[in-house]
Amino acid sequence: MVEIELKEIHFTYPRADEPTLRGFSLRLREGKLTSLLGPSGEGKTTVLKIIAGFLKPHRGMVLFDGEDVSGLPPEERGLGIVFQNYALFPHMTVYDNVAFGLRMRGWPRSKIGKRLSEVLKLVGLEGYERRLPRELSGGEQQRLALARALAPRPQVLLLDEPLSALDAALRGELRREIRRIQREIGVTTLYITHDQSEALYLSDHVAILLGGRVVQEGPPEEVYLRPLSLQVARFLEMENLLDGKVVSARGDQVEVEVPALSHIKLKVSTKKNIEGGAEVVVGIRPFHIELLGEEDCGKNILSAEVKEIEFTGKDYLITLRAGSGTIKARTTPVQYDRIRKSIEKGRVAAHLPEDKLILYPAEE
Amino acid sequence: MRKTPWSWRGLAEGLARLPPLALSLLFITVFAVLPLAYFLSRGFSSGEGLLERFQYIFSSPYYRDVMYFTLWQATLSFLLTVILSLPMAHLMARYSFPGKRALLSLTTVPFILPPIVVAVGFFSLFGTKGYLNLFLRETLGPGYSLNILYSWKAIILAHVFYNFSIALRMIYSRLTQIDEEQVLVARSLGATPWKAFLWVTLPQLLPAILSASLLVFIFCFMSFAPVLILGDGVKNITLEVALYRRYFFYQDYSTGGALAALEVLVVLLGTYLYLRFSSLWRENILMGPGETSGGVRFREAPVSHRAMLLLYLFFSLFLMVGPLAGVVVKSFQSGLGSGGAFTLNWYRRIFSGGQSPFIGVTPISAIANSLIFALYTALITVPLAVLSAYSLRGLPSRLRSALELYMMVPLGISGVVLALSLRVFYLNYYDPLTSSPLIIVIAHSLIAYPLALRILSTGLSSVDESLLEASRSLGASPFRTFTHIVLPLIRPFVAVAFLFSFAISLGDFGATLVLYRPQYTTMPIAIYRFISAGRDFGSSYAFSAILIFIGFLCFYSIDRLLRFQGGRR
Repeated sequence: MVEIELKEIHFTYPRADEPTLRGFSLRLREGKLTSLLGPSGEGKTTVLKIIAGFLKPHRGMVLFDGEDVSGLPPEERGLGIVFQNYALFPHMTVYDNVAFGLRMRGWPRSKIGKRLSEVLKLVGLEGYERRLPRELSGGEQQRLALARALAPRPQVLLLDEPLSALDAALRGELRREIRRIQREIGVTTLYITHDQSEALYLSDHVAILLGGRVVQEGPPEEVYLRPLSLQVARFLEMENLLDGKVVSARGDQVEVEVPALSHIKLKVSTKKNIEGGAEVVVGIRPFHIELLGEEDCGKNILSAEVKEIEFTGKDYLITLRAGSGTIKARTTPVQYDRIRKSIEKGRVAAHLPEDKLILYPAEE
Repeated sequence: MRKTPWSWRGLAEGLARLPPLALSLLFITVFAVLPLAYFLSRGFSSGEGLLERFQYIFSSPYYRDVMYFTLWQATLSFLLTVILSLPMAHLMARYSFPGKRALLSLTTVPFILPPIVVAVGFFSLFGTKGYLNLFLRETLGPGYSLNILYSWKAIILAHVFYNFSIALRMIYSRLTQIDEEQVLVARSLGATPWKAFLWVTLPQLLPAILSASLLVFIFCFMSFAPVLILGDGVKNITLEVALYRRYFFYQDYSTGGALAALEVLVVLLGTYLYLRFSSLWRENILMGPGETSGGVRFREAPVSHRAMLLLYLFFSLFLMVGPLAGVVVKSFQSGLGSGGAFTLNWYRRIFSGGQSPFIGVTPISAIANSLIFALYTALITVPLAVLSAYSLRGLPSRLRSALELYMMVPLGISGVVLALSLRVFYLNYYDPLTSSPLIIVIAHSLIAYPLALRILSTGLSSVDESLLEASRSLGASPFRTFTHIVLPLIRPFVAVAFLFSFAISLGDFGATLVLYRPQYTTMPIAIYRFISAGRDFGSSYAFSAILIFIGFLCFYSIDRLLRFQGGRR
């Protein structure tokens, strides 16, 4: 397997005013699944096409195991690609679709037959050899596209939103399949998606593409729980982002006043160097907020009115109001029962743990 | 499953579909199918039997030559056309460049342009004093000129001119439908660009290539005007010309009928195959050129491709515009000599109102005849086509495709055979019709009908069924639904069908030549008479230029309508 590195890639489409990629850098670790997560139209597919050699970057380098591949045409890069619409060859059977890459690489007939039964078994399409793509269901077409990409044992697998054409139930099933297969064969994989839950579930490593470059990367939990910037926090739908002002700062202990939440003073631990008086934004995920009975009080505890309760099936999403602002908290049924009395009365206390609060400098 | 309960109302609604359909069916049956059957049967009933007639035709060296030439020129024409248009289609699908949209629009022109004008255009280029030959002599020396007129070469070239853009359009639009990412996947799997084309693109392009080939073959197989005017007229003639002569010069029904039977057989078979292949990828060649926005920018193409594209652009522009430009320029030149001075004499002569010795009427009445016939043709064809397209929509699919095929019958009959059948049949059964101008309008309507029907079916298929259901659920009767919902939605298509029918009638030559009386001379007939009887090229250029002008008006309106339609979707 191969490690792929993109270094400081710049790319602008011919008719575009703005560059699509500006200083894009990313390393695809050997044998690992790396997700590139970003909103639509941010150039995720452009990255794929540059790795594949369909597009040439204006500046920057693509390295396969440390070697510059700019002179290598796509057919010699050892790729497997699955596009969003699969791009199955409609005039070929399942067998011929999967065999295509092997034939192009001049495999002998006997080896092709053997490899084909292996691959079709891997994706669960045995017995479908003689069907045409249009005779397959959406999920089967997706498996076929995957089988075709994997058959020639590619060095790198590039998946471009491979699940977005499927309905929710199938998506769940197929993403488990993709993870199983990827771990089983250990191919270096780039998974492109705009769906954060997909990226979090599948990846060994997540990279977030915003404004033409990777703004944060790391293991899924880290990226999701500790977005480095307000921009990333917003993109990852950090539900509670509260404007505040630093009242006092002592080392990595900061006290922030949030006017919208009845001027509560929150203690926040942070490694960022922030001075007193600075305008900041405090973020916290709803599942990090701990709900208590209304009589509780103390450090970082907010007394709030219950505005709305949504039962999602596995937990409760509760909208709280304090002063002029609202925050959202998630709570398990067990915890919910514990404070049911307070909730019925319409007032609870919410604990915002100081190590779960994230501090960002306010935007200009 | 429970059956739908029977009701008077359901029956009434079913029956309400019948009259509009019956009208079209009657029209096709009475004016195309019955006359054709009668005409063909005349070929076999006068004295000898069917076998003897065929035996005679196949044993006569003359007719063997005619049949051989007909097949040979049609084959050569379609091969050349497809071979020339394939790389152009590929380059156009691959690259975007300024003027691409306009070039694709121009490919509608041959549908509208009268074949006789193309022939006249060839005179303006390849005549001894034609522009191309003047140019060659001036640049290369006095000995150089292309003497292709009055030979098979001019016929083939005219066929390529006429069909190049049709083939280009069909192949191009199929190419743009093939998912570009398939090629990318093929490349990623180890295919070189050439192998990706061979294994992924070409097999999917094949239906389009086949149906383009068939269509061009059929057109050339039935070719009439170019052969009559540009050929030598003796050795190299098509079946169409041979049977026309057989009938008109020798009043020979039986040989004419047998020749017609042969031709109809081949053409109907070809048309059937064409409809089969084209339904494989559901393309309507009349409805706009398809996607025009895609493609790599021209500047980024490799040098070899850029050179090829430029060469091809030049070539196809010359091919599509050259003969027409030649006609227009010549129509403003005095004398037939090189570089004659600017003059309006030819137009003055046409509009002076004086009788011309070569045509039976004044040139002005020829123009009037043409316009009146065209208007009536469109007025008959379009309502018929609208009604039948709408009634066909609700029918069970098998019945529907059978009826559609039946209504396409005129498409499989050449203009000359269609007109001869009409004439022979009604001479026998209702003589007054044959001397009435109505018979010309009927023939034109028959020729225009299949195209109008296709355009309107396409238009109707873009109307969402649920809109009709919504209208019915709000209390509108089927009739009100038709007038208040369907008609407003397909209005642009109705207009396009109208313009096509108008243009087809305006340009028709073969059928009119068979049916006209001197007082009903149309512009194409006048052009032919000017050339063949009078050698009056000046007047024929001026007439052709007028036809080109009207044709371009139609073309422009159709293009605008389709573009508007395209922009709305």
